[in-house]
Amino acid sequence: MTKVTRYPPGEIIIWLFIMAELLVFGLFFAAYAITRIDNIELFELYQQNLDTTAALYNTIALLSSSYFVIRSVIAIKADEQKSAYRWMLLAVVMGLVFVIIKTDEFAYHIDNGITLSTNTFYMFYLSLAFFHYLHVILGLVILSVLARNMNKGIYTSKETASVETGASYWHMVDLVWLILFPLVYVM
Amino acid sequence: MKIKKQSTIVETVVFLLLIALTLVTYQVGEMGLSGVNISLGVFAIALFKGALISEHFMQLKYASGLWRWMVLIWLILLGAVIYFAFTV
Repeated sequence: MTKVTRYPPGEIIIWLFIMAELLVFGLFFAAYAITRIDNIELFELYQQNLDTTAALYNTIALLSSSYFVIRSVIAIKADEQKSAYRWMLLAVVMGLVFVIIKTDEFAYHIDNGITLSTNTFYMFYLSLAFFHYLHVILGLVILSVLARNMNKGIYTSKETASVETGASYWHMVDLVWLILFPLVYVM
Repeated sequence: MKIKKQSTIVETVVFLLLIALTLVTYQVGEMGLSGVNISLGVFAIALFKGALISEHFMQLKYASGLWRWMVLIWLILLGAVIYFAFTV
């Protein structure tokens, strides 16, 4: 009997893109952790200046958004276009909550004269956080387009590849944040 | 023909578990707990959360072979690097 390969949801190209993105973020996380070995006191000192409560709210926002996206995917597979649209809209709202909180955090740092060159910790924190922030914005654009198309009734249970492709990208953005949050804010 | 809708119970339980684990991580930070074991414990929680995202939200539990393992392997490699960096 021939073994059937079951492919991941969405277009295969997005999974190659996701693996490339995870590789880049993985190298970033590894560089952070290895640099920390010789700068433990510096990292622990400036880590305390970060707003962990804002990071908690952001984690809850992204987790909620990811949950709403999977609910939207399940709804579209059942041809429930209106329900899928509402779940996707909620996902966009929670993504916007993340962007608002993160923008406020960046503004706080800028107001206090903190830049990439302030010290090694901030160089890593700001570049990692901003790189991820850009991914959130791109993800929000994708989710917004999916929501608009859902509202027009473009997707059906037979036409779910686009929805699953966008959803997979968004879950990757969530996944990266789930690593970034404890590594940079807590550990 | 009406399509039978996939149950969302598992995804909802996973979501609530992810929120609960996030609150645990936050609480560890707020209590000012430190030390290598605490850090590694916190990261182990993060890796477990990542595996939940991979399996249930990315739906890789339905994929076969390497497709299913690609994110999990990334998490394992990351865990190994962080373990090395925090224990060396």
